Amino acid sequence: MSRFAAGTIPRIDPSVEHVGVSRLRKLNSDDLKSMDKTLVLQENDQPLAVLLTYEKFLILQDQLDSLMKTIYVLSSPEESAAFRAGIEDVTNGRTKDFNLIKAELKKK
Amino acid sequence: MNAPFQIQFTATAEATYSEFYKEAANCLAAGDERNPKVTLFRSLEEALTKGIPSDPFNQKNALSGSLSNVFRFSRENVRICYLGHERDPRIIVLYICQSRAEESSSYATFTWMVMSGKFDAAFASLGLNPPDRRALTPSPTVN
Repeated sequence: MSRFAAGTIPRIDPSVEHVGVSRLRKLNSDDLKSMDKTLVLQENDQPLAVLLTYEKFLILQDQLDSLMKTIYVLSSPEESAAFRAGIEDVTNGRTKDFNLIKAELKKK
Repeated sequence: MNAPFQIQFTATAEATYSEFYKEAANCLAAGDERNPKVTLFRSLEEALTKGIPSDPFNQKNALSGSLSNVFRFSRENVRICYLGHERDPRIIVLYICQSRAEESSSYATFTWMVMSGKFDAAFASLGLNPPDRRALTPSPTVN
């Protein structure tokens, strides 16, 4: 196996910075507003907390919610069956305009 | 969005919509305006005419990864799953469904799924023991 096979090269995320707790005391509101990195706060090389911007947290939260929704849709027998049927309808051109459906129902 | 927003239904979605429409119409014809079927249909109409068109491609409603063009909109006890893209002023409703339980958080849903045993094989493949099921809770829904 090559020396450079997957897993042999350490992965470094340049958007993450490991800093001492003392850095936290030096941060002011301007620093927090312009912070482009995620800070891992540590004491004696032990990670204690993670500091990231509010916007980044909201993005993470949305991503987690999206993931949960996806897992739910694909795991729920009822929803996954409906999802597959819907995709099959689209693939086979079985779609109709919503206004037309409403008009047809009102006629009946 | 410049072009008028269009909504199309798949045959699957149309069947559910027609069923909800007819059930609500029957209740209204019988003078039962407060029937949950009427409320359900009104929620569905409100979602299709106001809720979704106001912000159809909100990432909060998008599924993840390769399904990011699929959105799942929730309004009260109605779930509408549709296909769409920002470049196209048109969505295709894949299916409509009704939730059975109260709204719950995604975290609670995931906990329930883990506790239901759905992921036991995945845990086993990682050499992990399945979770303690003594704290099993009833099935929640995702909003």
